[in-house]
Amino acid sequence: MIGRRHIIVHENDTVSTLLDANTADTSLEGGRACAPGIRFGHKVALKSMVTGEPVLKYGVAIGVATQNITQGDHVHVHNCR
Amino acid sequence: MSTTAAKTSDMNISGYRRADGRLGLRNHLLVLSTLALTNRVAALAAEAVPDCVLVAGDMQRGLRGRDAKLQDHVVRALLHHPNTGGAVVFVHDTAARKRLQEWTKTCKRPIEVLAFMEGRGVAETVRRGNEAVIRVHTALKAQVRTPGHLGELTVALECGGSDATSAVCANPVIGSFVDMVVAAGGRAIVSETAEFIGAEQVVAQRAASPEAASEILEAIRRRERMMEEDGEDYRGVNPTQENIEAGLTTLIEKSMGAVAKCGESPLMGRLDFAQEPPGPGLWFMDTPFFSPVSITGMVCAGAQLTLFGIGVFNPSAVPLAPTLKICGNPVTVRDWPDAVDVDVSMLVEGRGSLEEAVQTLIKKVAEVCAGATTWAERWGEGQIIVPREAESI
Repeated sequence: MIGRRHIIVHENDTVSTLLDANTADTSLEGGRACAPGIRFGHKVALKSMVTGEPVLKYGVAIGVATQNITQGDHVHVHNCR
Repeated sequence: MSTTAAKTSDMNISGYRRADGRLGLRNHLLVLSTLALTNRVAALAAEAVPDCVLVAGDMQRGLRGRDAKLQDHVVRALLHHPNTGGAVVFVHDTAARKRLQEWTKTCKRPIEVLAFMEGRGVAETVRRGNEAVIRVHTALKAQVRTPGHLGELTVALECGGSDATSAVCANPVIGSFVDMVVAAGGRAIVSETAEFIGAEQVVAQRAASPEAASEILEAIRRRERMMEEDGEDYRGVNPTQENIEAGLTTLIEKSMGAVAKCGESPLMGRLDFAQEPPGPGLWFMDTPFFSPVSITGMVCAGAQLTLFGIGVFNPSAVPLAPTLKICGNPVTVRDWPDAVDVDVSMLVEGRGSLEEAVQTLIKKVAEVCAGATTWAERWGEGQIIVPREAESI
């Protein structure tokens, strides 16, 4: 199992974008955990974050965590705003 | 972006050295119709040789104020462009011919100006055009490529047909290259003001000075107000339900997909449509979002090359400056094999890293700078479209 394809756009990012449709896999390429069910183009947490922490993609804050996020979680409108 | 270790030091840039020192990547023979009335004779005149660049658009008489000034500026910018080796220009009458001929002396390259009203029949007018084209073509053959360097480039940045792949593949790859051009002392121009709505914080952080920040932010606010006047609440409806389905969480994330093609260099300031950057670095040009219009603005500001990130296919290009279509969507790459120049779909398909994708772009840019043609050049794709504000008289 090599894990799901994903792209970290910037070295400082705390989320990565998934680039395949293997939603049943539970790991990322490189070995980190990945929650099942995250679709192509959606984001996975690269590290755990606490409520209020900025979510970084493209090296900038694209939002803040609205609840605690665990590494491997799907990051989207339910936990980031 | 900064994750890449790609090197550009071995990039061979060569081109045609103009009298003012600028480097042209092409030695185009431009056949320019300065009025829609002369478009047909200009097109027929251009047939004298196989490889003219014909610009025959919607140039009008009766324009007012800024519109009139801008149309006149675009005509001159095309003739003065570093990729223009020489030109044959059609104008309406004797007065216009004399006025333009006086100015074209400053371009210091073979430019012939023909007045339509001085003709004696269509066939005779076309024949004079053909002869002028052949004379300029002969003069251009004598010119040879000379070495240049990366820092002499002005690169126009564009994206269109955007999808989930362009935001994380094509545009970041372009951004990495832009950082290298800027580091080498070159210039890059980004436009399409409305695409920056939502990314104001990033603009403010990256602006080289408080003045640069305020003039760019003002331009973004102005475009947003235009939408509000038309009853559109852009900020309220974005990201759209469709965007959210596709994985975009916030408006700033959506905007950053487009902003990623700028790289991370400081924004030096705002340029008006078709205004040449006053110095090196990354510049923001205030333009409409329609790509044939925005590219016209950046190329008329002196960009010799356009880097165009796509997701689904978008054919837009400008005839004068080679346009590279860069695509990370494997389906688009497969379906448009005669139109995509740089395939970065290795990122999506797990066949390569961002660094490797950047290397692919560098290699292709080097080839195009050395004279290899882009697909848009081969197809003769391209439009020059000048935006207008007011009704004409």
